[in-house]
Amino acid sequence: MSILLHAPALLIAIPLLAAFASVFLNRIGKKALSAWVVFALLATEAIAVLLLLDVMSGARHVYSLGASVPGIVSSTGFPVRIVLVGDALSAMVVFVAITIALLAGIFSTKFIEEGKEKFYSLFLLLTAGMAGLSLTGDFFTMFVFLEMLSISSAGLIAFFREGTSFEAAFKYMVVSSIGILFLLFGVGLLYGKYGFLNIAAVASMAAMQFSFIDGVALALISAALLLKSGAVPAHLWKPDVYQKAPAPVVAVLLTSGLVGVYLLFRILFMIVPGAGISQAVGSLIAGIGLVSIFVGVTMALKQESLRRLMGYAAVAETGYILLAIGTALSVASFASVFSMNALMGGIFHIINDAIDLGFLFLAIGAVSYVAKTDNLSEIKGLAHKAPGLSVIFLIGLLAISGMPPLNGFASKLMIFESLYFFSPLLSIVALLGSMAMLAIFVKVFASIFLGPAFKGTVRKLPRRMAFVLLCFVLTMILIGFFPGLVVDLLVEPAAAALTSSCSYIGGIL
Amino acid sequence: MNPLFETASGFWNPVFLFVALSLALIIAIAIRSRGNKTAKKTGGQGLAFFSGNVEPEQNIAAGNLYWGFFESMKPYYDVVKKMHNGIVNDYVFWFVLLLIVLIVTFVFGGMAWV
Repeated sequence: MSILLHAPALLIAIPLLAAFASVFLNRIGKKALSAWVVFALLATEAIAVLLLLDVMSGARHVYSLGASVPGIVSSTGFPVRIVLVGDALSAMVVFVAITIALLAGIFSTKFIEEGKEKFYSLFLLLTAGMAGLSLTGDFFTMFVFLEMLSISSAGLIAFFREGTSFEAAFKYMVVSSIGILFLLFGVGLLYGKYGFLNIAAVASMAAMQFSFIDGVALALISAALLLKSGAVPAHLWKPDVYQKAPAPVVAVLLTSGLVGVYLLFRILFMIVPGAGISQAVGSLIAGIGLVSIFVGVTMALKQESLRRLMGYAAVAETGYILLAIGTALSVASFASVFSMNALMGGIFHIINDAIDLGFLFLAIGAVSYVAKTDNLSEIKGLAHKAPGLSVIFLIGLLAISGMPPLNGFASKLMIFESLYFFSPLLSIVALLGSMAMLAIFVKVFASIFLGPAFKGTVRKLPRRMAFVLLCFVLTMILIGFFPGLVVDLLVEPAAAALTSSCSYIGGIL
Repeated sequence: MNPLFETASGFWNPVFLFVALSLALIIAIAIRSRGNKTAKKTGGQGLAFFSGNVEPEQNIAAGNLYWGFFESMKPYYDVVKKMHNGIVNDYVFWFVLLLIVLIVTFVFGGMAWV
């Protein structure tokens, strides 16, 4: 099928073209613009599903952009091309990213009232950047998509054009630009040494002849990706940004951070075991994860601003993924049931984090829409006037805290169980972090929904926004009740794709 | 679709929890239904924590819920609050610090290249 053949390119091209077209569509009318954006996102989602269904059986799509006979060849004889790769892992990540973008896009059609054309252009560019990052097969394209993502994100963070939102966007732009600059420096080092930028080709060479240059380059790239994912101590931009950006943007931004985590592990798993540094690197990443959990939850407990609190909670949740996958990397022998379990738990947690945190930020947006104020500290006792919203908000809070029988529990169970096998202490700290997370969300729920009835007037939540929130809640419940299905269909093939780097490299070369 | 979820050392079945929660709910409803049906629903007697007194306008603020925890962790918070000062130069400083740690680990982690 030709659509499937071109799926990796279409996943980037559709939102990219839709982004530029949305400026013109706005001239027809706001409804036409909203319909166009939702249509473009639905089309992208359909292709993401097609790709996912195809790769679940073990197939791999390698898509080269360029002439059929390469005209430009590097000094080492390697054809210069843009390579996109769709395997079980990257297809899963792009599916999750596009799904969150679709739901956030539908939510925005009612949530964003002014300046829709600017919002959607940037929003679709951000979506295209995420899709590109998930599918990229070479280092330079990775840099380009990271830039695309950062610039569109900065525009969206400042969308409400308030003093503090400009400040948040400025901070994000500064930190992000510096991170990407370091990444480009790392990519330059690799290009200088090997003469090509294809990730698989560089990995195959670097794993065999790992040198000082490779170490520095890999550290530069990893630092930029850790910054993107918001791991401690490079997390400081996250609460500032999440506090000020529009709710649907935050949902997509945090998903883009998870795409950064995916890219980090994609690169590390290809190079680090072969270079013989997996124990040191894996332990460091797991350590960063542990510190992220601790700092994230303790800082979240202290916050007065709800969105800032959620920003720190997102830092802690990223910590769980880093801890699980870092531990699996440090062991490097994926023959062990527990190391595979840790790896699968981490990958499963990427899906759950995107759903749970994405939902919570949209739900916070819904709360501010219903109560007609952006100052969430003014909202108290909302459960009296919006009981339905309070129930679905509570389900989301329980899911992110890892309470059974919701989706967050299953992935955390896998992580805690395997961590206990490697080090009971790690498991205890991770468990305490999860308990603290529940304590944080008790505070969140108490501050917004409980207490004497909300005194202000409330407006009805539009059906479209309610539909999006219900979709999230249903997914949480379904995954919570059938975690085995998700693990079998999505997580296990993704973990196999991550660990079989030889097959990935061979497939691309 | 089977809800049974097998992990590395055991299994988890959300249906068991659902059944247990449903049973607990049924028991709670059964106990509640045995209560005095003639009890007045107005007044303060339903407010367990106010002993019939007038409900205060302002409850304990959510920010004060974990006061004891913050007091015991004060030395830790003094340090991390300095880290989270909102100054973008410091954000870059922490990023560079992370980068240095990463370079040391990647370069000297295995010493295989030496």
